[in-house]
Amino acid sequence: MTQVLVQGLVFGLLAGGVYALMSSGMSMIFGVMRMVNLGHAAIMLTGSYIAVTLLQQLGVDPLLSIPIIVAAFLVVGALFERGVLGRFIGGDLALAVLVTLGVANILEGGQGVIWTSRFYTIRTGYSFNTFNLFGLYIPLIRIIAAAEAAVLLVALWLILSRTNLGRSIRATIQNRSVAQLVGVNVARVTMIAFAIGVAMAGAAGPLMGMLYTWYPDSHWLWGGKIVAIIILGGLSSLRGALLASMILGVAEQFVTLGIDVRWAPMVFYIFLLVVMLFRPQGLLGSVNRGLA
Amino acid sequence: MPLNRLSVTSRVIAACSLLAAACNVSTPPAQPGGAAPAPPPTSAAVAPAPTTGAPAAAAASTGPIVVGVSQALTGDKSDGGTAIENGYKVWIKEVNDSGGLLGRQVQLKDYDNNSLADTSVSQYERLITVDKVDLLLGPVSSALTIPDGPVAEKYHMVMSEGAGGAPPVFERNLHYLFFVQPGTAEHQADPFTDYILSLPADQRPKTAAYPSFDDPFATAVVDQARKALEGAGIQTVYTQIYPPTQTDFGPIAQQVKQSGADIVFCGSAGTSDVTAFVQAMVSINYQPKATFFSAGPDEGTNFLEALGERTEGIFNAAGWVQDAKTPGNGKFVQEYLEMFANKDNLVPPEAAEGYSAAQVLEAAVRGTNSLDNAKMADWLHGNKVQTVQGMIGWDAAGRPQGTFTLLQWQKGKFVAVWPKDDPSKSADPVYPKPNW
Repeated sequence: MTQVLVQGLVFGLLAGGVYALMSSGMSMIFGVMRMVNLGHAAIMLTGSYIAVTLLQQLGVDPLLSIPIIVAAFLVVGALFERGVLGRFIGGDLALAVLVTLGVANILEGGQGVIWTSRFYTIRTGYSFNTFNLFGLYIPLIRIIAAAEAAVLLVALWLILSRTNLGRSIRATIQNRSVAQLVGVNVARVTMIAFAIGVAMAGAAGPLMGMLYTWYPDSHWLWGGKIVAIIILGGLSSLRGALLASMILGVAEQFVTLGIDVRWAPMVFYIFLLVVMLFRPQGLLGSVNRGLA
Repeated sequence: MPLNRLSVTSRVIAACSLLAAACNVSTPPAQPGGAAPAPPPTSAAVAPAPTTGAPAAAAASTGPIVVGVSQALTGDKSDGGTAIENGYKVWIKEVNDSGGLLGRQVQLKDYDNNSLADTSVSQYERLITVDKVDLLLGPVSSALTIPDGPVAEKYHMVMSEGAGGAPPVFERNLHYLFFVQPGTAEHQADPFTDYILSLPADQRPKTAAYPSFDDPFATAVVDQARKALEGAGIQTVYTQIYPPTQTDFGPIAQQVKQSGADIVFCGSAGTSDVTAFVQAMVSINYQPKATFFSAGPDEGTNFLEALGERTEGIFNAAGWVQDAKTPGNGKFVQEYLEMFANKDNLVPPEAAEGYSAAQVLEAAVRGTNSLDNAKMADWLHGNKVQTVQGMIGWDAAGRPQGTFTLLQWQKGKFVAVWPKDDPSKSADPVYPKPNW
């Protein structure tokens, strides 16, 4: 039994790493724009579909497709923010959220038309490889996915903490008005932050696709989990999202192993409810501090 | 100005509400024919009187005969739903190419129900009362057929369906419903349990695990198999019902391995959950002696593409195999592959189930020489119909009276392996199965 629990802990932490990548982009977009991007998970699935298509049509390994997707999504994200979403920032944010809901539905419909509604999974030559570590079997793709997520999250952290752009993003997250007063071009920063958030969602796509099966509707399932993670972590707190991802990844495994698999999807929402009641700012979130 | 805490929270709640609301939005990517979404179900109290005579009157028309179907073309049942639908399309083409039915062309009027039962019910109501279709074909799965069957019954319309055979489908003794497979769901795994129990005692598995998708078809198959195997002394060491939203099968695979089960008998939804479950078992090096999945292995090239050589040794049971010698099967296979070409040249059995359901409908129309659904239902209760799945006849509640064939993936082919005297049998079962 101990071995099963240890295995569950390891699986949970590895899954948590991927959850962190999925949620980091949404967390940052919330920080800068103060709105939840309901299209986030559908954007991630678009990344999954592109990766499986590149693999099937051109033989591109899904890990190599990540930089291609990141580059493309940065451009598309920036153009979309500048052309559509940016018009709502500073106005009625509920409208902006509705726009993202529209994006989610359009992407879902488009995916159905292009890739049909059948289930997909990304299968590579190493999909079934596994490591035996002191009696624990750990699938190679879970390690790869967690490692890739870690690399991308560290890159994001370096951008935010070591560059002028990062400082501008953090300043905008902390206080948009004051950031503007001290000379930060918040419109430009918002566009870049949104583009980075979209790119992070896209980057998570191939990893999700290697670990799980999906179809166009699946983004609602993932969207719910991601919202729960960023609220538990503290909206706009990257470290909070990381911590919440680990907690929920492990809790999901333990509930499945110890109670019942049918309870596992509820773990996210039970945590969400408790946090909203007793610590609405989340584990590491605060009113004025965010990604610091 | 700093954002205040309450406003952050309230916006999050608003966003979550939107998300929750959005989760309930049925958004099929494509509504064939650009049709508007179906209206909410009509309550029984205000439903129009049965329209037995209407379709018969329509027979005098020279326009196309319209066959209505609400199908799971998106959502968690879409793999099977699409396969069934493709079977219907092959039949439509074949009938039209050979001059039509009663001298008229046949046309499919279909809606995508997104795998949702309430949507499916309202779409059948719409097909019958608004679109006034002449004939109906059923959706995929017992979960959809259970609520849809009574709609067809209410309007006295024959519902011929190839993939809804769980016990509750027949509990209401519907006169107009006909399940077109050799047997009902609870008997699907009979050839598997027969085969396992035919093994010499020292080779038989001692223990079994029964994970199952939360679905009436899947649980019916599992319950019957478990009863048969337990009755023969094969101990149950694990049971688990998992929800349609299950994406991570790591914990289930760990628990099954921990239970020490010799064989895994899974009531599955389709390629999606089977792929994830097999991948999880492989990744922790769990090597059961046999695995049976109630749905998924029969989805042909999708299944092979998802699992590759890990399909080796996986069991499933169906009423049809691709190289069956039943009358018309060769033509059906050829036409299917022309219309839905795939690199493996595989036809999913679910497509054959859909095609067979349409064959039954056609036989009833030709047998009565009319579109009078009441006459057609009576005719079907008194006759057997030759389909590509074999000769099928029904009891008063629409239960078919035949048996299934055990199939196994062997070297990239899905072959019939049991019963011993099955005319389709082309190989012996492999047990224990090779390691993943």
